Amino acid sequence: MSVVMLSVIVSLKVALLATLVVVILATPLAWYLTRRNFTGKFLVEGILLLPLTLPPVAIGLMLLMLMSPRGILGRFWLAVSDKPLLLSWQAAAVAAMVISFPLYLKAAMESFASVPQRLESMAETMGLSPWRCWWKVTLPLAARGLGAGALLAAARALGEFGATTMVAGSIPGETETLAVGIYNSVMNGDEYTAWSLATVSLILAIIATIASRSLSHYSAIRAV
Amino acid sequence: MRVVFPQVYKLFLLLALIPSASQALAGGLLVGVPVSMTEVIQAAADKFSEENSSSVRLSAAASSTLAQQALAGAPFDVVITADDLTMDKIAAAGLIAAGSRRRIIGNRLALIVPRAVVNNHAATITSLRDLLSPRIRRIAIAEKTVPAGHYGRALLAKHEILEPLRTKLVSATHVRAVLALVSSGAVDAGFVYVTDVPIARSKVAIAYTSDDSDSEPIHYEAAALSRSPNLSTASAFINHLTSPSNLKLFELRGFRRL
Repeated sequence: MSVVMLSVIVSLKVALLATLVVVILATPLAWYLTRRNFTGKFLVEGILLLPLTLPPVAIGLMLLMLMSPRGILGRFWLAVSDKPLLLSWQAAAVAAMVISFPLYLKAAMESFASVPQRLESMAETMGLSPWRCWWKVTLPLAARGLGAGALLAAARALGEFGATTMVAGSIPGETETLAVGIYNSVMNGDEYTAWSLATVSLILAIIATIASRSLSHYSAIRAV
Repeated sequence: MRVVFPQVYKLFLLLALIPSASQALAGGLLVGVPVSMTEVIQAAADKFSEENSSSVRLSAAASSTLAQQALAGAPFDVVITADDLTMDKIAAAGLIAAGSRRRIIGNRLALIVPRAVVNNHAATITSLRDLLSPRIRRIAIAEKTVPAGHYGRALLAKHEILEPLRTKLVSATHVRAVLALVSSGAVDAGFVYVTDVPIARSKVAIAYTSDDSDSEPIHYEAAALSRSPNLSTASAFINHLTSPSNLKLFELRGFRRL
């Protein structure tokens, strides 16, 4: 298989896993943060959004420690899979998760905030349990915004570079993502591969951006 | 809507458990290589896998990053560094298998300039002192922590021009980044290894080459990590790297025999 195809597969695998985990973890969290007030909420939000402003390489350095066989993530992974986490594609996915987490969280919070609480209380007065109300009313109303956020997170995960090279290295066909592949081919003077990879990245980014925009556009129309 | 959640979880589990195809190969070696040696080590690795029917996978990074990864517990079997200081760091952490550390091959520093500049005014650069000329505004050099950056700065210091040039130096993450900066014309000159030049021959020219009298000797080292489960294959690979036939291959690419 060509270098380009291999990198595309690695990138898609990494971005898909990262986005899935982010959506599963951040959706309930975003809802909680939008609808509940507690002391220190400001601080918690700040910490959760930190990866947005930290240099990815700094995050990579921290993740390197966490993913080492002595670190908490590395130990956990070793116990579960009997394989080291560092320099695996799953390590690249964790890096992508951390980087794209705040992007999705922000989008999800905005999306939940735009759901009229009036509709939720109406549903509850009609006898829906809070859990059913969340499934039947809140989530469907926020779904488009959440989808847009997930696409944005996936696009960011696809392009992650700084933290990824640190924890996943650049093993062709295993951990060499599109972004890492572009960097390596530029460094090796292989402009043809660099441009092929860059073109594929461009196409994927355009698809994700258009899809994300059209989803959020729709939800804006519906809200009016 | 209700059925979506469990499916998402199943997909997630499935994804996390997919093993990488080449990871499944038993006894395969994972070798950390400095970026400046990627192509030659790849060629040597291909030959080794052919002869020994064991796979060799490379992960390229700056030597300092490789050391950091090794110290953090990355599952390398063999690490190759572009200097002995970086290897000393790995050795100090007690990670190197006894007797496996070996010097493989040497290199030289080259001061390069963009070809476009050669045609205009860079004929003036024939020695390191010419870098002091006001025409030379930016000089790319690898970061201090990267061997190429360390050697380059040591070379300038030896010629007592490091201080006057300090404001002109642009740090790049590693030596291939320097090459990219010079070949794009973003800087007026840069320090790379002689062996890096051929990949951008049409865009850069060598203005000056260091020799042993004016720079610290530059050499690459290889060592097997003691925690490698494939120690015998790892030392066989290091032996292969230092075999006469392979050293000849290195020399063809511009490396220098020690």
